[in-house]
Amino acid sequence: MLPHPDFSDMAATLIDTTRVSRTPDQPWCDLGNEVVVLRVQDSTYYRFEDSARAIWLLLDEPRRVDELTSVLASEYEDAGRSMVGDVTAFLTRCADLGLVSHDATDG
Amino acid sequence: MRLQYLRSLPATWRAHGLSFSQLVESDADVRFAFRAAPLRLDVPTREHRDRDARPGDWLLRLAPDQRLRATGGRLITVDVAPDVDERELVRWVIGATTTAILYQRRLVPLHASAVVIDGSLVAFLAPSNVGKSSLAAACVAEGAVAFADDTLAVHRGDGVVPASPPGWTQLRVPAATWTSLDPTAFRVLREESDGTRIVHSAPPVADDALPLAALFLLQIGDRLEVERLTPFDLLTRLRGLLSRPSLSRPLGVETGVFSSLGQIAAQVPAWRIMRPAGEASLPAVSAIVRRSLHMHAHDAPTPGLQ
Repeated sequence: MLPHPDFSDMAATLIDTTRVSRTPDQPWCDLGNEVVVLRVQDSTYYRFEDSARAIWLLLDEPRRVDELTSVLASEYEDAGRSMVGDVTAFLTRCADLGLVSHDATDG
Repeated sequence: MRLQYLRSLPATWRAHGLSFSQLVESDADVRFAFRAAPLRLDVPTREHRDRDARPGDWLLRLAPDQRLRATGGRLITVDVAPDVDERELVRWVIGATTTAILYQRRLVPLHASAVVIDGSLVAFLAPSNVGKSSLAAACVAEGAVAFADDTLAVHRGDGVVPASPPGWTQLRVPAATWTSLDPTAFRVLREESDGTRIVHSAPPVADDALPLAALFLLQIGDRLEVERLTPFDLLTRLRGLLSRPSLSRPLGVETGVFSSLGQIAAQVPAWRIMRPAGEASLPAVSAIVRRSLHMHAHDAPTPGLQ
């Protein structure tokens, strides 16, 4: 069974001004309705759909967490803290896996 | 004294959309140089007992004093003694060395044989000894045109339909398969000592790249079975069906190759076909291939087995 990560109970460790980017040379592809990321360390596939896919595609350049949240809120009509929590939890988990990197500087 | 020419290969040839030349003066896409190659590469990203690799450079040590090198997608250096087993050497040249050249040129080499059926390019993917060439030959016997044997290079690029130029268009047909086929569909180039025929389809394919119309992933099993694959299923299987997949990472092209596999998975319909071993199931599989192509073209569900 391939992992399909559940980020719902992940603690958010990033702050709004943290700048996030995809890890360089990270193999990934867009299948149209989902993004598939290959974690080369253990050859594990991660599948991102819906808002997770949207976040990944937005990371075509380094972006701040609050910027990502704002774009997603407008796209999914879901303003408020729950969106911030979901975005930061997702990005934190991706960072733990080495799929994205981040700094804490205010850009 | 070192080998100066590969006698069992022509002076020039085309494969995978590239021109290859053994001639000293040549403007071919890929040239040969018969000269000294280093014992090791400087600062390789991967060191192995018999090969080194780094972005743009690949070195194979066939023996302590026998080396092949692929550099920059443009140059194959042959540094071997003249008494080398040339048939074995040529297998390494048109196999692993050419695959390294393809990766260096940002092409995606699939471990596949391919035919053109009614104008549509169809590829059969499988590990070795599952019957890619035999199935291709069975299709040729029914009117298809041979397009590639063992390796099919796919062009990479954003926003384009994955497409392939003709590969090595000679099919290696095992003796047992050959006796089950109509020989008039082929031009026999030679027969090997074990009865394997090296054949072209008659007529041969044109040198144009064609869009990939369908992929069929072959398996040997205890029964005949066909299943349409989702893009994700196809993607995860395709990675293991690259030609010499371990080369892509040390050559520095893994990220691009994976992206290209995603393009293929997203855009090209694919089926998994399991069949019993042996020649008896080849006509049925060939029929499944044709029906799958036809029904996909007419937006119908995957055909069931009868």
